[in-house]
Amino acid sequence: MKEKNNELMNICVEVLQTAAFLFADEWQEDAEQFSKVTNFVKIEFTGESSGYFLIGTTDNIRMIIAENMLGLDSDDPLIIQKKDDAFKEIANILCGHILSFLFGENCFFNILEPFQVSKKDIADIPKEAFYKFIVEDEPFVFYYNLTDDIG
Amino acid sequence: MKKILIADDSSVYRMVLKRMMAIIFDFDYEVSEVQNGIEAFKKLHTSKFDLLMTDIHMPKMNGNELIDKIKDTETLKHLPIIVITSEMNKKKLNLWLNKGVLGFIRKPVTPEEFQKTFKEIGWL
Repeated sequence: MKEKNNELMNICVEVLQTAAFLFADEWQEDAEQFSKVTNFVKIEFTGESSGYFLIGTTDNIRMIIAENMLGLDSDDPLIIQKKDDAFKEIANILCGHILSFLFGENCFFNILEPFQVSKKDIADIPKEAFYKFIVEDEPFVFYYNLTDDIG
Repeated sequence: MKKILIADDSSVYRMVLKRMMAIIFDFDYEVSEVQNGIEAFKKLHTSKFDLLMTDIHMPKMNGNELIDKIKDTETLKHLPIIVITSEMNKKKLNLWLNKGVLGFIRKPVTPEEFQKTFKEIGWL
């Protein structure tokens, strides 16, 4: 289980590094860290197993993702325009990588369009269930839920 | 002048691919963009393209359906296609290659992989 969790973390860290030049540090637990996560994107999938995948971070990290993915200058107004889409695209890429890891390279999935969800929408998920790490001194979290959990 | 059609519902990823092209291509090219398979199929009927780069997970008509339709269309079945997707699925990959897809690039795309793929198809 620990190995699987480590591998999932590594996948997420590698994708963020390759796609958006973001480097991860270990999560530092403090009472307010998780509450700094203000933006969440959910992506549902069907296939070998059904379920959803969720990522969350701060608005600032979403801006950095857009800036780095698109190679923009930090004052480019396109960053604000594209930060939602860039974050959704990161969710999409991560979901594909994580499903390939969980189910192997011979499984078929239909990954649906990512959409934003509010903190209220995910209030039922315990904080402890999230995979968590720090990028650029700010929190980045992810979580997945499978209808048919493979354990 | 090479004419390339990008089909991807993510405007961000279309921009990422165009950025890669600007970095790596050393020849004249022109890019058109569409957001799904239906738009791509229509576009392919109105202009002649040298390459289609398509995502798989798109609304309305996904990349798999688009590839099937292209391969079933006499005037389009020889169109070179490169698939861009986040999944690493050997079954799908073999399926696409058997259908005549030229190459496959996994998201997130790196300049190295992008260059390698275009070298393999003889464009670089």
